[in-house]
Amino acid sequence: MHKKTVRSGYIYRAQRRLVILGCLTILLLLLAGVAATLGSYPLGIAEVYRTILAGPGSGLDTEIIVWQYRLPRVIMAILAGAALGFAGAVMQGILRNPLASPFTLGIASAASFGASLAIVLGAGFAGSGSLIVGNAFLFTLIAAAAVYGLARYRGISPETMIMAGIAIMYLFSAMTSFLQYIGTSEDVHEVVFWMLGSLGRSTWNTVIVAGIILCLIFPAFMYMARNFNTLAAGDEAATSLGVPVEHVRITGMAGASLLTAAVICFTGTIGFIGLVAPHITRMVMGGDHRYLLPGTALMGSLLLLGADSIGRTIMAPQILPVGIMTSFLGVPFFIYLFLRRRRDYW
Amino acid sequence: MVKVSLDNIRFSYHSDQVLKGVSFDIDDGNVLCLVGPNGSGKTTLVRCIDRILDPEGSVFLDGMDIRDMHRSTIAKNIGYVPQAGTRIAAASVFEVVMMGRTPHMGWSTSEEDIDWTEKAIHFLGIEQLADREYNELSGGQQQKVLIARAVAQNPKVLLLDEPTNSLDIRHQLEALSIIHHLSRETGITIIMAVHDLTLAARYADQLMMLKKGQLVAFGTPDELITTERIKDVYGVESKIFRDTDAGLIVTPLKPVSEITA
Repeated sequence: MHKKTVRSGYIYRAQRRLVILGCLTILLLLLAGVAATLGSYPLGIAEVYRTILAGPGSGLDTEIIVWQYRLPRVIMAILAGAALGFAGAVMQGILRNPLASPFTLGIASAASFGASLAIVLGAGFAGSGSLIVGNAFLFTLIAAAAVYGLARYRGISPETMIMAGIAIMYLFSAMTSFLQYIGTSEDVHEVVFWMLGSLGRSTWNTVIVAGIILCLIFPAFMYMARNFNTLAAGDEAATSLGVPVEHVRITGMAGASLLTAAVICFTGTIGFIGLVAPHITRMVMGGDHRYLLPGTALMGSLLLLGADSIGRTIMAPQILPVGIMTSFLGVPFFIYLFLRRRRDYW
Repeated sequence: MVKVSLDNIRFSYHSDQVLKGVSFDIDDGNVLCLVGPNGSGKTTLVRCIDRILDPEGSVFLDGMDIRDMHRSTIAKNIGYVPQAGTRIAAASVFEVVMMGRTPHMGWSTSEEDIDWTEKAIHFLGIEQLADREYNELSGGQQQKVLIARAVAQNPKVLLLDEPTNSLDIRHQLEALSIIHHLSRETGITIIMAVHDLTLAARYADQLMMLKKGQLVAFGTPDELITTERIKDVYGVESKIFRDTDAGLIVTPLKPVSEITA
């Protein structure tokens, strides 16, 4: 009898997590359908699902609207939310720091600088058509490499990586500010708009690129989930439990940076999701990364798709940038969960 | 029973040499306590034996250099209980104890891993804590959870870094008697750094005394603890009593003046 109670709590929580994952998935599918009904041309939710299920090239009247205009944006919201949430959860886990996110570690500010460079000076590495995207992607990776290089110099600990990340963030912010200072007002407007983040630039091409990178990194991170769990016990304990700590930390940071880069180069810097989606999920599901990672991906998608849907309708036909909406929507939700949480979860 | 051999272990933090060539062999599943003043290298030595730190010299397990072992193989053989104090985010006690299974388990949790976790929780008598959040526990409770984690790991050698640090007297006694009991039950070799000489004398089968990174004495508590040696190693005048219940009691009196030390 006694024996049963010790394990039953663990087993109950594991089952509860699966139920929550199932619910989040259903919720996301529903929200995706609803989001695709929103826009200047009115569509019913049944019509949307029918058009989606009929596939592209079905010849339905609604095909072009749904498949060409609405779905890329909806799917990009799902992918971007998943990638940013995922990257945040991994960063918080490997750095054992609740404030870690693509933003606090300089990655997003590097992307902003890359985009600004393209907008203000027309300088960059990619061809002219994808100058902004190419720059944002490349500078994100440069920032990640710089954080790694600086941390490597003093030993790859959470503290050194966070200090290096913050230093890099300020450096790129200053350089972006400098470009804004010397740029024309049109340039500055475009830079600011880019930094607010938007899903309006989504096409099937951007969906495919972001989707491929997500599909490559997601299984790798899921495979490492146990190591992320044990790393929570601290570097020493994890090492003695057989976890190759530095390797996990470096791979985790590289993967999280790549995920972030793959998304924000297309969408601009969408804040908040990477920081908050992991916390919300951790409060609801606990810290086991085998559940936390997919849960955070779903939570990030829900938050971003929800925010974008509201941003598109609340002041229609004016569309509010999704970067603004994520905070408006996410902050009250986060504060509510934070205040009513019963467990000392971090 | 595994044989642990250290061959001329040396370790430096930057230019400061903390361990200056420590060698010993132990091949009995006993409780061995490392004692010595602050900065004598106890904690560093414990970390070197588990290769959390990478020392010069070699550590052998049954004649095999652990430098040639994979990290997870070392983890199957050597357990390490750090001092409590590190927070573990969003993890229940059950999950923290289950981390001990990391070197044994795959991606999914097997029945065997759950059995071991449960067994370790029973061994420490912390059933009522199993579903609590680790971060909410007191220092003494956390220390027990960390010992349970090492029990679940099922190692052949268990290292502990001052497991009684920051515990009250009741928890000190509980922790040490559990560790002693574990050694008697399972026959694993226990090596722990301990500050308190009286506690070390009571629970250790053998003591090892370190001074400035060198092993100065090795033997049973009765052989090893003398007022002369305490004066030499700690620089303290002391009195030693023998009590039928408490065993050997060391009472420090006053520091030896600088000139004679």
